[in-house]
Amino acid sequence: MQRRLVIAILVACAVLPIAFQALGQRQVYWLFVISEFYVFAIVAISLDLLMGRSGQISLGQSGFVALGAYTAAILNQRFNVDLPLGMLAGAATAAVASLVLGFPATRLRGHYLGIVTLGFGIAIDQIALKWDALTGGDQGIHLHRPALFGVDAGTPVRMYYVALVALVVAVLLVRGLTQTRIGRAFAAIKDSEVAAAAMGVPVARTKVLAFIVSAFLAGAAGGIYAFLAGFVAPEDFGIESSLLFFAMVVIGGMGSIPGAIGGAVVVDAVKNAAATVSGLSLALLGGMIVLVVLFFPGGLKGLLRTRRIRRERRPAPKGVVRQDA
Amino acid sequence: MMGLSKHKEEQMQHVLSRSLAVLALTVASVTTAGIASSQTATAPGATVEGDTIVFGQTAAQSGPQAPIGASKWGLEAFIASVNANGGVAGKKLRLISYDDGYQPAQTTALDKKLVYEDRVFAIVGSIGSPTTAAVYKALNEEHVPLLSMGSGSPIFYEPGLKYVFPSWPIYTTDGETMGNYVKKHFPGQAAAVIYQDDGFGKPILAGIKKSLGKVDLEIPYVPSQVDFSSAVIKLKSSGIKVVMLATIATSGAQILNQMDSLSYHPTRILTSSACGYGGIFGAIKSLEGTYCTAFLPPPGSSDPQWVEFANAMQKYGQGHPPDIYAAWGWLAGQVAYAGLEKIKGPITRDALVAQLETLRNFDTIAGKINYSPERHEGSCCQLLWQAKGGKWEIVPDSQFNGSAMK
Amino acid sequence: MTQFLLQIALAGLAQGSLFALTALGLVMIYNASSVVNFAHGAMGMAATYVAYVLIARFEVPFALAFAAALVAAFVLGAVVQAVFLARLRNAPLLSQVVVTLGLFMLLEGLMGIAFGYNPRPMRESIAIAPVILGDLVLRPQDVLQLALLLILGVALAAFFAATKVGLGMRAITENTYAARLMGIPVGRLLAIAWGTGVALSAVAAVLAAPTTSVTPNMMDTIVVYGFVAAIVGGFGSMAGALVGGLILGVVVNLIDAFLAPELAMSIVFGLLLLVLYVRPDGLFGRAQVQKV
Repeated sequence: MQRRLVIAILVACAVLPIAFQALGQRQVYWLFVISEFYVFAIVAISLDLLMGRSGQISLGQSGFVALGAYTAAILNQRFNVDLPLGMLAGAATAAVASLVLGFPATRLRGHYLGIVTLGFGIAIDQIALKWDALTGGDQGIHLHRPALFGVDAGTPVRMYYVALVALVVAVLLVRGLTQTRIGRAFAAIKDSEVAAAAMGVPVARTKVLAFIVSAFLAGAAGGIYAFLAGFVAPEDFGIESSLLFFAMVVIGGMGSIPGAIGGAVVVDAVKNAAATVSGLSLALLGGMIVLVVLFFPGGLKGLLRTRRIRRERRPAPKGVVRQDA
Repeated sequence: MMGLSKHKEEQMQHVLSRSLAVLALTVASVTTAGIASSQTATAPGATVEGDTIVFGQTAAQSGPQAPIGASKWGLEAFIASVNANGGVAGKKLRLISYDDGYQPAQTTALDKKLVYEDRVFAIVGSIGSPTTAAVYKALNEEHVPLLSMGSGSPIFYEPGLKYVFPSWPIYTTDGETMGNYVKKHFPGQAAAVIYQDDGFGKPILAGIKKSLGKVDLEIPYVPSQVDFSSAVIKLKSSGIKVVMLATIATSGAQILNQMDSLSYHPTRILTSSACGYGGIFGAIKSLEGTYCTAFLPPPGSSDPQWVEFANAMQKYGQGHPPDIYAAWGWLAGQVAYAGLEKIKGPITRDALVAQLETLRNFDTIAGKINYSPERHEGSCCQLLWQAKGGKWEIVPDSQFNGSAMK
Repeated sequence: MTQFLLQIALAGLAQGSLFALTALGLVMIYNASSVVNFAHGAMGMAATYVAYVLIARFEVPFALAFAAALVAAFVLGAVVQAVFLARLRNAPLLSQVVVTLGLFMLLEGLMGIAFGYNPRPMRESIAIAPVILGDLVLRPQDVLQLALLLILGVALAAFFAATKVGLGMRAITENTYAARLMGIPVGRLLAIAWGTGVALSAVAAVLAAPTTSVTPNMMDTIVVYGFVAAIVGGFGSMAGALVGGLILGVVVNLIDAFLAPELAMSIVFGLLLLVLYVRPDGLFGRAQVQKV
């Protein structure tokens, strides 16, 4: 039944632009907003792969998005590189950065990664601001109109499909990965690093791998975003946006792709609904994160599932000794 | 994909191929149906049809930059007072203002909303350099006028774009005002600049160098910096007597307080962006004697333009004070009004642009502004304020558009 | 030049004492509960608003307002531990860290709603004129910061060495499970550790407030440097955090003076990565065996 639901949603997304014809030119805005949402959902999925599957925290996910976006934008501005290549170059740059960052960070106890990635996000921001000969500083970079294999892709409808296809590919990729041995290694590490090592899982290498794949996806999302918005500037990739991605994953329910996407819907909605009062959306999202962790550890996804199986539910076994106590 | 069981792999392939097929089919059908061709460059609402002219604005109301969002209330007050006097060109005015949190990505999305969903006539008084930088080219291509943005960044002036009308003095003017004053009143004294290392601080530094020739010490910083001890120590031990600060409000306050705590009392000149907020006399202990460049009269001034603004704020400001940020919004309203007022016949975007380009030396709260088909200049000149007895006063030999400042 | 260097070093130590105070609190909480408290700076910031309101609205003397902020911080820390983290005792560590991030957003947002983002001025901690020795300026608040850091450092060392509560905490650090079996009131001690840790963050925040002004994000930069100081110090060693903070303060000020102030944090993180490559447990940490 789940598969049928997924196909139905997919078809609905695919025909949405036809329905939007009824909106006339208003569709330009709505198509943009939904395309942007697809791109953010890719980032949420990438972060979920890291946090939800392998139990590592990244507070600098927007740093990887920024690397992807800037790589695509700079290549496009200087060498007229187009969307597919720009996106891949962006993804690759982010993956390489994650390698440099991941090796020392993953050798350490888990939460260090949170701090190191936090610093990485701040550093990318500062460097983008400082190195203005390359990045345009705070005035950013304007991209040329995107093309896809020589065909103009700059219309809202076409960019919509680019974003949608990218999201579908990202979902399939992560889904595929979690069903392989690597995915099981991620899960083992999340449960207990020591136990995973005892079972013969190469812990450090697996953690770095999760980090690289996550950064690759975030970088790809950044590359697409650059072409979608047509503009890249440092202010968009600060700690605030890293926290938004973080909120998407937690609120949606860690370790679940529909959860990450659902979390992205909730965060987007809260952000827009609470935008008029200073601090309100931050407080609401923070409060939701606390509530989710305390009372609904499965997030949105868990909430739906709990309802379904509430009757047969038994209390989870307690008394598990905390990992490193 | 290694390690994938045969069964799973087949399932995956199945889903993958089916979903991609669905997508491919739709993309093909949508595109061949000619739907995509309906996306033309020009935006809707190029001609005002109803009895209301709608302005759109983006300004931060949340996040660390939220204080500048108060410009919304100045623009609302201007619109309310125009409407109370019967409107303009037979129409009433209305504002739709969104919060972009000072994030360019938000501005990009919200301007699409304003243009395509809300079908506003023009974008008026949007705040911020990076935020406006994100949208000004797209708006120009869509032929949507972008009036009086809250920025003096050179990109909006050079090269000028047809639908873009800045009203602030270009940031280099801040620097030139400082440099000229130092040259005249503190000749030969060791002078230094602390500047924000971005599109705001660097043009000011360039302006200072242009008018002063050279400076003895240049210190860059970023807004996230909280401790300026080293910078101040460096200034002090280098024997600097005049410090020009190309900073935003928070950093400016921190630097001046550090100077005070290190018993260092040089001549200090702030920029207009650092001294407009209401609480500055509480935030900076040793403000007395500090100069500040400005393109607006100081709060509480008896300048007739300021008095008109302050009265309107009292009446229509919904409880918001008549501060500098609100005055930015008021200025934006004045620019839009000046163009609209002169339109004869149908109110179109191109008519607005054509009329704006006829405006020479028109009076605003920020002094005189000139537009022509060749150049869209902001306010040309600046004032200098000085802190005296707990409030700002205009330095006697500085005045709007007067030869003294040139 | 030596005068200049001396002045920079002095400013660095003063700023470093704020990093060290923050790091001390982080390590205290980490030792007791294995949680890196990402809400650390925000909690200190929230307590600073207590001092701010008392001073600005009720004209309470600085020392009294300072004390009130510390009490508020202690209560906040203890309550957060007892209400939120105690519930998560058996949850994965990740959940506990995530809660602190949620609290960080919640507190910054709430203070933003209540007070807005306009920087609020905070009065100087002590109103004594600076002492001038030749070209060298000795700022009374710098001296106060360093003195407070040293006093609190010594007090904490004595606390862990000699008091029952302190010894109990050390037992918890060694093995929470065993400590519980030995009849140590783990819950109460954890609350005390959190309260004390957050109070240390509040000391840093209130001392920083005259320079940073009071805003919801006043502690963001300081707490990030606090994290770095704690890592450099081995994240677990109080002495390491103290020394790490002071060194970091000097390093940051040297970067400000000689390299590129606008890239200070990037450079610091680059250095941190280098340190971690060479010594994964920090400059002063000893290699830790992961316990199951």
